Amino acid sequence: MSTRHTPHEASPPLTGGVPPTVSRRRVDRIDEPARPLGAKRAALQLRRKRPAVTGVRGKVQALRAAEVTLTSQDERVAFTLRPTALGLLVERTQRQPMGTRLIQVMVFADQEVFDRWCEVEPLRFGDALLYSKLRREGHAALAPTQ
Amino acid sequence: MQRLPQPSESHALGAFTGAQHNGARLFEILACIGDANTTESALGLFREAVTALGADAGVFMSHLRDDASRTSLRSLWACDPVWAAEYASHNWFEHDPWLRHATHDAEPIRSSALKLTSAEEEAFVAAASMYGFRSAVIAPAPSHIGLSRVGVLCIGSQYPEFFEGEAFARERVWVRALAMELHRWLLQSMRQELLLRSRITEAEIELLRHEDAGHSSKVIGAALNVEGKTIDCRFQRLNAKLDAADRRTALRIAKLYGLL
Repeated sequence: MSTRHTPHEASPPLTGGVPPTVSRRRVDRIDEPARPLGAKRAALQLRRKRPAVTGVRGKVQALRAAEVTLTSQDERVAFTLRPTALGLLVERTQRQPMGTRLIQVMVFADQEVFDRWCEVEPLRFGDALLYSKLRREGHAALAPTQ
Repeated sequence: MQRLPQPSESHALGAFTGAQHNGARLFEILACIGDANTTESALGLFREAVTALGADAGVFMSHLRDDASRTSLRSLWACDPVWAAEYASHNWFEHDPWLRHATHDAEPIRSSALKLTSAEEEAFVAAASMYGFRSAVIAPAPSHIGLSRVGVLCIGSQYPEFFEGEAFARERVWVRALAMELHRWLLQSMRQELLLRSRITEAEIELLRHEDAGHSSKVIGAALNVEGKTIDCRFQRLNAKLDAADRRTALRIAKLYGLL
């Protein structure tokens, strides 16, 4: 894991009486894997990212006109639904405190495809109430286009 | 000289990319993708490009190593959305041979030439073939920051031999160009989204530039006529905005998402 200093060509000019020879922190190279956090800081970060259980089963937010965001109780999965000229645009976000955050954007032309997608959506076992909201919102958004 | 498609090639690649009107349409689409101002218009153009290539399905993914323990995979799905659900359900990103190819090579490749390295990868390919990827072209979209941000485009067909034959030499040019334009659009979109979500200020971006130059809090404080402790506090606020554990990670995120 490299921690070598990278000379920076466009470093901001230092004004205000700073001596010309200043000590420099080591800067990681962006094209290399990030250095892991120390044990204490990693534990703190994990605690910060742990979602607070509010007792509210899922959240439904209307962000823009006709745009709806559904979030699971543990905030690990979120769906943003937006009717567009192409059909129903869905952005599905799957978060983990550590690991991969998967964001998928897709469009549904009709209710039949949306139903087939719902049938394999992993949330159907994890949060049944939110899943039924998702189906309802999807059907409502696709209804005028049919 | 351009080879004209034969009647028996109706399900062959050359029949589509060789056709002059398709080439012109593809060129138009490519020119528009990078500047698409909404997700739906970018996805719409992507779907049009897939059709113009004569393919049945397309997926574009951008893989970012946010920090040592976290990666982001943003994806546009111009195919049966059930494949997207299967992908999420099985955590296929852990065994995705298309993504693996993009992190090791910059050249477009046919799926038939892709060497699978595990039983999971074989299962992935078998699953993908059910959703319009029986044959495919995989085009990496490399970036100037190496493996920290890599894109990959996969264009698929339900016909097993679709991408075989001489027409692939022409197809790879289109697919590579499409991969790079989609990657460009996605970077702009992610940058915009981060700016809106974090509400990061120009002064904070200036702090990150100091960090990038290797300046300590004392040095930055001296330059800005404030205490070093004040700089530490500003960095703490900045880290929270970027959801970063420390200023090193904040700088990394700023670079990955094109803020610097």
